[in-house]
Amino acid sequence: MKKLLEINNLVKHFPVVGGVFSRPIGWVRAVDDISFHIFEGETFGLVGESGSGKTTAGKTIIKLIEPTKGQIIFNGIDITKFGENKIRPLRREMQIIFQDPYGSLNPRMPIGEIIKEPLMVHNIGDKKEQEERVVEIMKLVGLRPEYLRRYPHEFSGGQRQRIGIARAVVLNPKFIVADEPVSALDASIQAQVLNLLLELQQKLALTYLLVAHNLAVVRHVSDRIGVMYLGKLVEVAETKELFKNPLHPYTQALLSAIPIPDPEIKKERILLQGDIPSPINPPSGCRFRTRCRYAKDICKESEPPLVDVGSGHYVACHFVKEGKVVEYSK
Amino acid sequence: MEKSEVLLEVKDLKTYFYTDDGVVKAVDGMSYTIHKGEVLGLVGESGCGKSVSAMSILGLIDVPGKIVGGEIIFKGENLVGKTPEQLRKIRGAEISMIFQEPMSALNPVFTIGDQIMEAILIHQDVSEEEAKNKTIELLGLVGIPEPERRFNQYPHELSGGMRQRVMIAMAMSCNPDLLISDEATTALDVTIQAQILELMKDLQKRTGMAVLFITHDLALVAEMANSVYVAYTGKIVESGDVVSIFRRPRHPYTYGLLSSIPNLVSEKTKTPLPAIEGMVPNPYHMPLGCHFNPRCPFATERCRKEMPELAEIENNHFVRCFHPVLVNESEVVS
Repeated sequence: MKKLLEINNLVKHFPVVGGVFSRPIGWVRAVDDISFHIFEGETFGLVGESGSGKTTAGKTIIKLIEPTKGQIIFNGIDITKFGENKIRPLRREMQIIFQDPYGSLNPRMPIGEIIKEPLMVHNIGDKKEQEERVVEIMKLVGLRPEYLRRYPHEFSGGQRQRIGIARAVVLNPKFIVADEPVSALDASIQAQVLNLLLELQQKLALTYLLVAHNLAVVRHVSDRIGVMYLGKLVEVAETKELFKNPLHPYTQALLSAIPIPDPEIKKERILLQGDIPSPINPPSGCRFRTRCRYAKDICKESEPPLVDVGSGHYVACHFVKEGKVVEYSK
Repeated sequence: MEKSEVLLEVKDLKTYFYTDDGVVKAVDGMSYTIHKGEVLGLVGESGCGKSVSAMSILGLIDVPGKIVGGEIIFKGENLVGKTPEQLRKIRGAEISMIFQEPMSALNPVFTIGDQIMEAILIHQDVSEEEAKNKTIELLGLVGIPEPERRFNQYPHELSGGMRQRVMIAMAMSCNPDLLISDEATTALDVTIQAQILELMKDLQKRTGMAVLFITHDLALVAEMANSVYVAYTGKIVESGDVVSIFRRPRHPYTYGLLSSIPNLVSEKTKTPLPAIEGMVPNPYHMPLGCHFNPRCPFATERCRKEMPELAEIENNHFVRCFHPVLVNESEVVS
C-alpha cells in the first residue's frame, strides 16, 4: 500500500509568554516527537483525551500550524518547510472539517458562497462551472440545492456539518483531516454524518485522519488507530487488533473506561488515579508513569520508544516486550 | 424490582416559554416518578425538555418561561406554587443538583472550601468550625487528595474532574434525599468520567439518596440507572426498567437511537449505521399527531393526525406509540 502521508518525529511546542516583555517563560509541549504514516484510502483515527495533542497534531500535519521540528511528507513531497505560496496549491489536496459547525461557517455568507469560496480562491472554472459544481456537491452531501441562498443560521447542527463537509470536498481533495466531526451533534444526527463520511470516502477515494475522543465512533470508521497521551503517541495498531489486544497500560485504561450501552454487562474498570499532568512540565521518562499501575524506576529514567511488536502493532512501554503487562480482558 | 416509597412525582408537568416568536412547549405533559434510593435515567437529545423539567423541579424557571400546568409532588407536598423562599429551603438541602459545567457553577472569587461551607451554614444549624470540619471531610469523601490544602484553593486552580468533585461535595453537604445530575460528566474526558460515575454510584449506595440522572448518552443510562424515561419534544415516549428498555425497546425512536450509536463489539464497522432520518422538529412548528412521525419508518395516516397516549405495553413498560416495534432481543446492541 502506498503511504499518502508520512510523519517523522513531528514536534510542536507553543510558547507560554509572561513578564513585561512577553518573553517565553515556558513551552507547552503539545506534540512531542511523534511518527506515523497514513496509507492512501484508509482512515487513520487519532484518539486521546483533552491535552493529548491530537488536534494540534491534525492541524500541524496539514500545515495550518507550523511545526517546530520534524518532517511531514505528503504524497512523496516533503512539505515541512513549505511557505504559504508553495503550500497553497497543495491545499487543494488536503482539507479539514472542524468540530464546531456553528463557529466554522461565516454567518454573513449564503451557504452557496461558502461552498464556492475554495473554487474562487484556487481559480477553478468560470462562474457557471463553479455554480454547477456547488449544486453537484450540495446534492452529494445531502443538502437541497434550492437552499444555496440561505444563511448558516437557518440550518440545524447536522446540516451545518454537511455544509462544512461540502466545502471540504468541493476541491476534490485526496486527504481530509476530520477534527471531532460529530462530537457537537445529537446522537441521532451523529450516525447520519458518519454515514456521509463513509459514503464520500468510497465515492471520492478519500483518505481521512479522524481526530476524535469517542472511541466507539473512531472504531466504527477507522482502519488503524493511534492513541496519544500528553503529546506522545503511545500505541498504534489496526482497529480490530487495538480493541482486541490493547497493550499500552493507558490504552487499556482508556478502553475499559468507555461506558457500554448494555445494562447487563458489568465491566471491570481500570480506574486511573488523578488527572493528566500539564504539558508544560510533563513527567520525565514515560509520560504516563504518574498514573500507571505498572510504573517502576526505569519509567522515570528513560522514555520508552514506540516499537513494533508484530504485524504493525506499535507500543511505547518498557514492559510490553517483556510481557509484564497483564493481558487485558473484557 | 420491588419499588420503595415514592419520593418525587412529576405529574403532567407543562413548562412553556413565551418568546417573541411564539410559545415553546419545552416540557409538555411530562410525568415521572422517583422512588426512594432509586436512580432514574432521563434520556433524550437537545430540546427534549429533560433539563427544563429538572429546572422546574428546583423552581429555577425564569421569564419568559413558566410552569403552566401539572404538579411536582416532593415528599407529599406540591412544589409548584411554593414561594421562592420556601423553595430555597428545599433546594440545596433536600434536593441538590450538579451541572455539566462546574466552572460556571462555582464562584471564581471564593475558595472552594468557603463555597461548600456556605451551603452547610445556610441549611444546617452548626458552628463555623463544625462546618469547616464537615467540608474537609466531604472533600475527602469525594476523593480530593489533601483536602485541608484544597480547602483554600480557588476553582481555577483545579482541573475539570476535580471541580466536578467539588460540585458533588457541595451537593452532598446537606445529605439530600434527591440529587439531580444534569449531564454532569458530559464535559469530562472518558477516564475522568469513569472516576466521577464510580464516585456517584458509591455515594448513592452509601447514602441511599435517589438520583435523577439526566443525560443524552444512552450508555451512561445503561450504566447508572434502575429505571429509564426516554423524552422527545417535551414528552415521555417510553419508560420502563433499564433492562427492558435496552433489551426490548418498543418505541421506534428508542429503537432507532439504540441501533444507530456505534458500539464496541459490532462486526459491521465501516458500513452505514442504521441512522434515524431527519431531525428533531422545530419547537415553533411541531408536526401534527405523533411528534416523531416525520422521522418514523412505521408512521401511518393515524400517526400523522393523532398523538398517541403513553400506554402500558407490558408490566411497567410504557410506550407512546400506535405501532410499537417488536424486536428480536439479539438484534439490539449486539
